[in-house]
This record gives sequence, C-alpha cells and structure tokens, in this order.
Amino acid sequence: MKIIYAAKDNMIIPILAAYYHVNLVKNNDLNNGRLILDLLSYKAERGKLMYIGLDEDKNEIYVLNHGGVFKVLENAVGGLSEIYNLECENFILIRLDKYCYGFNFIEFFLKFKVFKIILTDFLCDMVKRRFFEVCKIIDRYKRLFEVDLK
Amino acid sequence: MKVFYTCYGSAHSSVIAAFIHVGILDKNVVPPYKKITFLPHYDRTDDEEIGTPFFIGFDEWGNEIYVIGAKSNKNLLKNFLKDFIHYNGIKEDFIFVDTLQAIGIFARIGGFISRRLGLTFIGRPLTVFDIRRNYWRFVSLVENVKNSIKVPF
Repeated sequence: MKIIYAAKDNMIIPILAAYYHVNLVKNNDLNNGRLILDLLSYKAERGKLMYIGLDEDKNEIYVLNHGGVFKVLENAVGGLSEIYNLECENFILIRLDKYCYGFNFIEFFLKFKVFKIILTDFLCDMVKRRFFEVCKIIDRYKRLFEVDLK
Repeated sequence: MKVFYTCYGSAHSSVIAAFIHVGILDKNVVPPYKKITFLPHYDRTDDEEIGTPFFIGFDEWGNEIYVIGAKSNKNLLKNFLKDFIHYNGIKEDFIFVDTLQAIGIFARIGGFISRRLGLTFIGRPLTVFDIRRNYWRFVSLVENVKNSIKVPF
C-alpha cells in the first residue's frame, strides 16, 4: 500500500507525519528548533512525490505538495490506477492542510531579526501541538491498516 | 505509449486535439458545429471530474489517447504522473501535451461561461466558434505530436 501525506506548499507537517509513520521521529521528539526551522524553509516541488520510507507493515510512505489541486490529483490517482491495472485501494492520500495554516505567515516574519526569537519559540510550540494531533490520526490509521492487512 | 492531451477542464481543446489524433475529426476539413458538440466529453466534463483521465481511442500505431484536465497546474500534474508511473514500476512511456496553446480568447471565455457559470447556451457556441476559427492550430499541434511518436510497434 502507498500512503501519501499531502499539503499545499508548506510541507513541515506532512514531512513530520511521514517521519513519524516510519518511526524516524517520536511524538515527544520535537525539541530541536533547528529541525523545525529547516523544515519550514524546505520547498517541495509541486506534484513531485517524495519517498520517505517503509513502515513496519511494508507500506510505502510518501509526501506530496498538492499545490491546491488535491481533488484533481485524487481523481488522477483513481483514473491512472484503472489505466495501469493497479488497485485503487492501494493508494491513500491524506490531506493535512488543516494543520498547516499560519506557517507561511510566520515564515515571512522570521526574515526580520526583531521577530526571530519570539516567533521561533511560538513556531516550535505550534508545530509540536499540531504534530501531536497528527500523530494521533496516524496511530488511528496504522491500527486500521493492521486490521485491513489481517 | 500513452498520450495525454491536457487543458484546464478536459472539456474543450484537449477533446478536439484527441479526436483529431484518433482520426474521428478530419484533419483536412474544419468540422461543422454539430459534429463538434456531439463529441463525447465535449463541454460536458464537470468540475468534480477534473483530473480524471478519459480514454478517447487508439491511433494508427496503437498508442492510447487520453484527455485529462489539470486546471492551471499542468506542470504539477505532469510531475505527479511521472512520479506515479515511476514509483509503481511501470516502464511504459507517456507524452503530456498542453492544448491550451491552440485556443483563443473566445474559447476561454466560452468555457468559463459554460462550465463554471452553467450557461451552456451562451458558452458552448462561443467555444465552437473559436475552435473552428483556430482548427488548423489544433491540426498542426497534433501533427507535431504524431511526428514525435511515430514509432511503429
């Protein structure tokens, strides 16, 4: 199965979600502000699938910048699966835009030294809180996949 | 090989190009109004269906011809298609052709009026008018595509 975590432009939460899914980070592991700032400035090319790794059930985990056309890509996955005789159920697109709002705004103000110290702490706190919520969703999905596989 | 003709909503320009490619529309004669409006998928694709590839037919070399809508994100969809095919271990090649370059302003306005505003009786004739006016551009676009894939099986 291929699981794709997607968001528009700001990829911090999808990347962390994918890392969590393949056990590269834990949900209480985000005390490194540098990692968060690096991920915030990371720009993923729109439409490009980024392979992250395999989880314990051998599902392939990807990250995708859907560029605001999630529905179009969802339709494309359905159609292409049919064309190439792949099973549509093998692809799961998980949209995480809900957890990414506000990051572009913060990224803009981080350019100014005056805001940097205050905003870095604020950002880390915000990312941690949202990441924690996303972890719960991923855990739920993982349990679901386990049941599915059995 | 698969050929994907793409435009904004897979309802107008990509449909025309794809039907010229498979030979249903004659490349030597500008088709009449009725023939264009009776084409499957012409001015019929809903917003919800954008992104779904629709099979149109085979060309003379057995290549599969599809139309697919990409909204304003052709490069995004092309990237996605490329990666999707690569990560699924599919070796078959594909061509992604942007057909919006062949149409004029009236088809764009007509398409918007028909598909977005739902005023088909105003929008559809406008799109057909523009497509008939620029028909030779479609023909030359398709000829270029055909020349680039002319590899017999």
